[in-house]
Amino acid sequence: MAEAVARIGGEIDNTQDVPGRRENLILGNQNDSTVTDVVCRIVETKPTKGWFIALFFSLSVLGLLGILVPYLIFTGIGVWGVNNPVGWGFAIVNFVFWVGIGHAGTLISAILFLFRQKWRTSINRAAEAMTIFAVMFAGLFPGIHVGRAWFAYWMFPLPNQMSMWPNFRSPLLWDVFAVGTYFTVSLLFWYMGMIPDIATLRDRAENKFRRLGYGLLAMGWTGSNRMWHRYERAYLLLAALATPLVLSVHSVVSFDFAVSLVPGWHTTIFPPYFVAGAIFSGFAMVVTLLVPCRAIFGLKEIITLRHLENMNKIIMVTGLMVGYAYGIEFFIAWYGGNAVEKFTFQNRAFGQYAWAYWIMVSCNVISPQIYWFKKARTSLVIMFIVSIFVNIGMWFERFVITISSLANDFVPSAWDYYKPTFVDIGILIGAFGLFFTMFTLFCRFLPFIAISEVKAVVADQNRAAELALLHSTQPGEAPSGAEPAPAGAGG
Amino acid sequence: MSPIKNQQPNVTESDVTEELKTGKLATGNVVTGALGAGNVVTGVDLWRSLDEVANTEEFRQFVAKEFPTHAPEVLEGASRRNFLKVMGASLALAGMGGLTGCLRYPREKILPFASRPEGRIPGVAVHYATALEKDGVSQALLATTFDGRPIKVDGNPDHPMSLGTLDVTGQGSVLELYDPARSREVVHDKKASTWAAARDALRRAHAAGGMAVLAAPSSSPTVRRMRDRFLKAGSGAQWVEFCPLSRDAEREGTKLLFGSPYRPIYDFSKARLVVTLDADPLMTHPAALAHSRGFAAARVARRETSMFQRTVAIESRFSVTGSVADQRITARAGDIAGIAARIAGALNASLIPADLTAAFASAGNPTPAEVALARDLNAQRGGVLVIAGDHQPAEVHALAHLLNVALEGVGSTVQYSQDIDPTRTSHADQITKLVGDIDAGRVKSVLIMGGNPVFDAPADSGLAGALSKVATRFRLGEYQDETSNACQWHLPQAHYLETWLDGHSWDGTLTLTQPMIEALYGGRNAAEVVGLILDETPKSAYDLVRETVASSATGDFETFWREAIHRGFLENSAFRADSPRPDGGWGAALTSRVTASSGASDVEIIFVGDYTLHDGCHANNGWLQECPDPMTKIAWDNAAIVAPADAEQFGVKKNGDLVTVTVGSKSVTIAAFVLPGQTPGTVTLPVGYGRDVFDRVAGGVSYNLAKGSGVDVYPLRTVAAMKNGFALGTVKRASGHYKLATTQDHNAIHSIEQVETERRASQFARIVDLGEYKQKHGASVKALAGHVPHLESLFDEHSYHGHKWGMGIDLDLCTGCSACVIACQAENNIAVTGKDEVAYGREMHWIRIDRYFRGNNYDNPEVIHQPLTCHHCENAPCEQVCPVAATVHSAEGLNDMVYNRCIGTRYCSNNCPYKVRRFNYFNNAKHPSEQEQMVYNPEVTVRARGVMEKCTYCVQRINQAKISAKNENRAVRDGDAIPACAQTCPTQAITFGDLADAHSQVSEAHASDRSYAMLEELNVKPRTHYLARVVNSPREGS
Repeated sequence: MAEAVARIGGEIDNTQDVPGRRENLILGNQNDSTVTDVVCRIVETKPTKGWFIALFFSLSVLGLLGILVPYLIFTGIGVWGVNNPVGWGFAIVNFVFWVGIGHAGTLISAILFLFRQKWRTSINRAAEAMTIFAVMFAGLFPGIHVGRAWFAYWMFPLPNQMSMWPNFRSPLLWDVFAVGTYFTVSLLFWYMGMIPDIATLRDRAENKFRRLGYGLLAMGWTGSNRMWHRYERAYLLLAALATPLVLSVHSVVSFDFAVSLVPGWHTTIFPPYFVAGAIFSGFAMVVTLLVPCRAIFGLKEIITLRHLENMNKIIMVTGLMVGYAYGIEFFIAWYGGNAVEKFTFQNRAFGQYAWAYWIMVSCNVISPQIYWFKKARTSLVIMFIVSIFVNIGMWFERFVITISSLANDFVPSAWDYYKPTFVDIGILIGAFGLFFTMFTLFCRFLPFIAISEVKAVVADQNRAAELALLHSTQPGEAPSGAEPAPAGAGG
Repeated sequence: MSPIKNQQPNVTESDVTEELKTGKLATGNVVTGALGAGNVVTGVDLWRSLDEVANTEEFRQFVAKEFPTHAPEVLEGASRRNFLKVMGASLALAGMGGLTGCLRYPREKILPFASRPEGRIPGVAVHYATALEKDGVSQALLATTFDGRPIKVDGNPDHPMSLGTLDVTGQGSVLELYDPARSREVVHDKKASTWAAARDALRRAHAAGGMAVLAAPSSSPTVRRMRDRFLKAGSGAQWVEFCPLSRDAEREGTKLLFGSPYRPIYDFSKARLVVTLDADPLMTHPAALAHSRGFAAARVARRETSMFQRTVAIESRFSVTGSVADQRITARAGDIAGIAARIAGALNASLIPADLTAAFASAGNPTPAEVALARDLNAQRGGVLVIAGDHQPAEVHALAHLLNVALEGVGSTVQYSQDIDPTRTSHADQITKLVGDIDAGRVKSVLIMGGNPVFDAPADSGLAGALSKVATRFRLGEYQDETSNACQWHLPQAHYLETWLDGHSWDGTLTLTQPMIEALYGGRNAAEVVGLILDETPKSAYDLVRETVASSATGDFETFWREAIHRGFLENSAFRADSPRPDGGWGAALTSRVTASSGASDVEIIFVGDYTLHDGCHANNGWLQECPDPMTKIAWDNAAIVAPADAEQFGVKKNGDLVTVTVGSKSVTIAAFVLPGQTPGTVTLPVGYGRDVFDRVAGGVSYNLAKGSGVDVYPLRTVAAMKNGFALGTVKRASGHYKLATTQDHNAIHSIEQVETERRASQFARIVDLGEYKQKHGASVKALAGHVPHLESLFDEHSYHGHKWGMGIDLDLCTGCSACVIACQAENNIAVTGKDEVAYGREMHWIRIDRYFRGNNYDNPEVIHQPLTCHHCENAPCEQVCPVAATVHSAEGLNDMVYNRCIGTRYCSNNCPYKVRRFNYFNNAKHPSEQEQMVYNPEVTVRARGVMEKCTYCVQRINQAKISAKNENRAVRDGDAIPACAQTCPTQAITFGDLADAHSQVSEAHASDRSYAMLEELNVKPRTHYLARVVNSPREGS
């Protein structure tokens, strides 16, 4: 092909949307064997110095968490900045933030699967891993944020000598179920989807430890037709099961706020607003993780600009939704005529936490507007910066909702100002340490890309290319479409 | 009889009497007498075996072997170690030592529970009448004891000056009994000594002549009897009294007017027009409780009858009384003489001495407001009460009393009684004279009893410096404080709950102090110490008080005595009313006062007693330190209170900015606090802070609570300032900022929060005009409500078969005095968290008093106080959100908190619209010392770390009332169950009872047309209702 290949910043531009032509999702003349090689190489070669540095850095930050959490549990949550009006501080902000992050993975793997979006195949594995880790830490926070962490298990409906059930009217209990279910299904979905790829790693293993480890994880996968059939069915069912959970989990998390009567929390818009925000922040986190990873692990041909641009489009759309929600909250506060609520929103924008509010608006509403420009959507530098902004903005969104509402609620004499302590900040940072440690280990030990699914995309592409070639050389011959699609194709 | 007394039938006080009397005798003298003072190891007369007494080597080895970790402490004696542990060890030692008949208390009748005293049931509270003395005035109390431990004091319901209520400092005083920082032993030259050695030294000093006693004022006839004997017995002996917050201006004022000092006794219930001149009769007056009760009665009367009634406060600082006045006029303290003179001049009253007319004229022409006030005073003849305050000079007091007499207040609103000590000079003069005598070498030894003059005497009196010139210095004090440090000898003083005493309450009723517990550290009271000097065989306080009472006894003395201590006071012993004639002759002095004030460009520095720490004597009391000031809401600190207008001038941008206050050559740097309503040109300085002398550390814990708390402003207070009530000085901004811990108002003035606060306050704490209320009744209150939509509940609502407890809080009566806060703290074992935690917003008080300003006049706004506790909502939002069902509704409508089920999510607190839940962020009750544990109410759980707590409506008292009713086979009557807050409330603003009983007080309160539910629109259905305040402020031009 003599056609000049368009490039952006040295990378092949596959982001064009020319009618009648479908851009390749996987670049670089890949076939089944090259895809396997590219992905398995990450796991099979000796880790680079960079990886060790990343792991060491992540572990150091995790160490902070390891010191501060026991300190917190032994001393009491007074080491945080929480006080009388503001009973929930960073711990709940972090909880909602991480649950939100956890949304992108399941959305990509389940909802985009049901919508037959082929581009999901390159990113779904990493995104799902991110989901699992994020939801794990999200689970950590409610556990440590209670005053008597050693009794946190009382929130579970366990049989006990007191014949005491938890209070089913409490949204916190709904949270336990919602987050628990979400975590379980996400974990199953992630692990099940990984089985064929783990089997590939097992088959390529050159020492017995790897063979044993991956062998156990592969659960005897042989790749038989019958297995593929069962696998496909199960994957579809889990995707169908996970899809409503994507919407429900953050809706239930939002009930923690919406069901209470705190002004600024007690609004019906919260469930959709929280879900949109969660997808927004989740995609931003995926971009934050994948932009460096694709460079480090040599995956530029598999995770292409088109993938990134698609995600940026979603970030822009959900950013607009979030911005709309911010606006409608203000409108309702005025239109609803509830004086207390009206003040709460005035106070958000102009009160003692106005700084946090404007950080939130700048990061979440203003910064994604740059994505109206294609240049920005396809610039790695800009998308990385914007994704960081969105992460910051979404963290502040939870901060604004949780803290500014509590700090100035009904009775003015009880109003106070919440200031985080070093323990608050240390645990916030430490949670990132835990997250990045897990993610770094994941990159090294598990297939970063869904190999089997990408292969299906590659096969489709190659067949289409063959057909195009056939058309150009033998005009008039009908294309033969009878070949069965390769197993594992995600569509 | 109070309802509480009713629960304890057949209890006679003589049981304790006997035990304590004998115990007192035994510990005091017999041990040392029998064994010889020289042999006793420490000042505490406890000993474990004869070996120990001899302090033999074998004994040391034995202790070291048996108690390796405790050996040093055990050997050093109880002074270093908490005494209960030592007692346990001593019992063990006695057994193991193989000694028979080892007596810890020779000839002591220890509590013989084998033959239980009549009426004493272990674990059941017993109530005894007792009293405390503050600045020479007795306050009658009813103490609650559990198994011999006093845990709480309340007012004596039978006493006319208390009627069952108690103020904030009285409520807090019980904590000091168990303060681990209290002095525990006789100290001589910083080494432990004994009472026997101290007695020898005292007697030697007395025999040598030239002994001066510097005592805190006492109205106790026993102390006064000992004083007279002391003065007679020694050559060159003198007895000086001093207290920093003395009421001498009033004495001097009545002396000017009547020729001899008189004590005015007010009856607020008959006062139709109260005018205060820089006075705070509802808060800092010794009879504040009786005033509050009368004030409340007058408020009720003016709402329910056509009676005219109004309180007008003319004042410089913003006082608690000013905050409940109908009209408040701000004026510099120095201008108040002029205002009073102009008002007096505008009256058409007879009886005014001629020379005063000129003085009135010198004050100039009255303003329209003054004319209006004079007109009202004329109109309310016979129902007028004019009160001048402690920080006004004598002439203003004289003028105030002249008005009372001229406007026919005598016999109705005020009664004048002859002062019990008519010949004494003022405290300021007395201390000046003492210093003069010391300088002249006339004083060879000094015994300072009570008070803390080295800390709080006027700076220019030179007492601290003069003391070092006295050869021998003794100090009797509850703490080893500043004064103790200036003396060679320190003797531990008995807390009032440890000793026998008597004293006159403000109306003169002879009130008896009865001990509730054996002196924890062998302390003695002032009468006993004087007895140690004078008597060969010193008598116990018990015998001394009995002797005094015997002189006024009628009939069989034992019966009389038992009845008197049962009641707590001698009936009909109040001062006789007198009718002194006003006299002139002080017109020139008044003229100079009136003219001196004008044109003073300096700032007036007004020294006031702190609302919680008083003169500083409560500085190590955690409850009182943490109790927010009723007006500023500052805890743990004092501050220079400045007016908003002045703040700008001084360069104070926000609360806590440091300023340097200079009077004469002395200056003090202190945080400023901007209080709307403070008169521009004046700065109020509460005294009593900045003490850092409580250096006791035990078990690695410092019990110095006062450390870092506030700034000592006494150095600025001169003798002249003490007499005039204020000093002129300058205020300059100093660099730096100091963090003040306030429990309210964390927002800046003019911020959007501030604007919203004012809007909501008008709904939450409703104020209606009296005229409007009388016309429109409940509609005037309802008109202040916000929008209340149609309310429907998501859940089935509770139904009740028995009691339905509820509360009503009358904002018309609440003065914000904060007695309820501390009463609740004492009753419910509420933790003290410390200044840092308060600054974080983590104070634990179950009842807080919200203070809202109203009106856009920052120089003189209206104020309303609103106590807030758990509202025990019917649709409690907290109950709904707790994931583990740790807060649930009881069958009687209480919102119960199940501490051991709570895991601490704090969701309930977030969802509480009133924000009355309190969370234990730390282990607030971690390892309290043995003494600190003793103050705990055994009926109430001490909460652990990580659990939520809140007001229970004193559920333990409700249950006690139900148990008593059941035992007596009757229904619970209205008034049987009274929470601590309602019990102590000086104005009885809080009513509590059963809403199921349509005739209960609380049902009537809820049915009142002033009743409303706060945040009604949330449909939480609170069981606490508020009753709107009704003000009778003068209309413009009226």
